[in-house]
Formats: sequence, structure tokens, C-alpha cells
Amino acid sequence: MPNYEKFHFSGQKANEQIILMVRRHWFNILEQFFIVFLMILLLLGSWIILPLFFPGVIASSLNVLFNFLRNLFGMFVWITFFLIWIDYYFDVWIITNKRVVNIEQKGLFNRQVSELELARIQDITTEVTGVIPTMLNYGDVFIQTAGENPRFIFRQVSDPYGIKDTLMNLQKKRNREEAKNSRI
Amino acid sequence: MIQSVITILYGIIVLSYVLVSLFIIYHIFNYSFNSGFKFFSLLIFTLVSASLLITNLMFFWAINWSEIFSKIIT
Repeated sequence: MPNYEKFHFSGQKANEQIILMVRRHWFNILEQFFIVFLMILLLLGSWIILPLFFPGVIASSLNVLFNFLRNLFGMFVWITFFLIWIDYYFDVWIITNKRVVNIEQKGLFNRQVSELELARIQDITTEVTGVIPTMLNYGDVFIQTAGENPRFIFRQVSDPYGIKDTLMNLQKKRNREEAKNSRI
Repeated sequence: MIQSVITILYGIIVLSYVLVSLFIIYHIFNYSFNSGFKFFSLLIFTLVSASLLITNLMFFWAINWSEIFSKIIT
């Protein structure tokens, strides 16, 4: 079980302990990072290919222009990389000993935070569909609730079965504690 | 005339880059879950972004635009 003692999220309550932090599976983000990887290859390729095909350019004043354009492209790649990374890193589901918090980050200007008390969980379903998700063990976890928002979804997360077990165990533990308190 | 247009266009690019970078810094600073990781990523991002911007500005002012345009026209 990972240790989340040094982790903290805004809105964390007193005595609230993070049990698990879940992000989308890395394969889900690979497609977007692949585009960045191609951009980096293009950038590196320009250093090798340009002198081979246009040797005159290197010696001329146009070389500064090409360096400027390469650098400008490098800036674009760097920012794109971080925009994708922010979308991935801050898009997270946090399971605590009291509730489940869903922080949905879409780009830089769209952030939604929703939460679900463990007591309101009615049913948990996992769904792993497709060859790659089955091989890499990632998929969706659906939580059926009694509230206004009837379904709480963990999308394309790693180890959905493990998440389901964690949530079930937390709920059992909570029910046992509630039963114990009601007897007292 | 062309040089002024290029400078204005480049100014817009630089301003956009600085604004997006500031928003990224804001996100890392405010929403990070781990303080160690926050400062590490802020350090890396700020250093690389600033270096790229400074070198780009240096390249931009080193270009002899009138010479380049005279070559393109002729």
C-alpha cells in the first residue's frame, strides 16, 4: 500500500487520511505524449537533416533564422508537454477513510471537484473491455450511489479490481464501526 | 514596415508563452498534492521555460530581417 502521509489536497478535513490516489492509466496518456515525442524527433531531425541537404544554409545568415525557428518550436513542444502533463497529473481520484474525491482537470481553465461519502455507496462495478486494457489491467470503476448524482465513475484507471476491493473494505470497516458505536 | 509587423507578431507569441507559463506555474503551485514534488517541478519548469525564452529573444534580435527579406525578394 503506498504511503500518502506527505500528500495533501485542498479541502482535506481534519483526521481525514488518504488511502489511495488514482490517476488514469499511463497508456491512456501515451497517445498524447506520442505527439510530443514526434515533435521532439522532428526538432532533433532538423539538426541532422538540414545541414545534409542544405549545407549552404549553415554558413549563411539564414542559420540564425533557422536556430530561432527551432528554438520557437522547442518552446511550443515544452509548453505542450506541460499542458498534457497537468491534464494528467491533476486529474485524480482520491480515496480517503471518509469519502471519495474526484478532481477533474480539463486543460488549464476547467477544474471540477466532486465528492462522495463512503456511506452513500450502494454498489461498485468494474469494467475492463478490450485487449490492451485486459493485458495492462486498466478500466472503469462505477460506483452506484443513493444521492443526486447516481453514478460516480473512475475512468480508465489502473487496477480497477484493486480499487473496488479497497472501497469495499473501507465500507465494511465503516459499517463495523457504525454498528459498534450504535451498540454503545 | 515588415520588420514592425514581425516584431508585433513575435510580441504576441512571447506574451502568450509567458501567460501560459504563468498559468502552469499557478496550477503547480496551488494544486500539487506533495510539496517536494511541487518545488521540484516548479524549479524545472521555470528554469527551462526562462532559458528557452531568453535564448529565443537573443536569436530574434540577432536576425537581420531586412537582409533576409531582400534575399527572399531577389
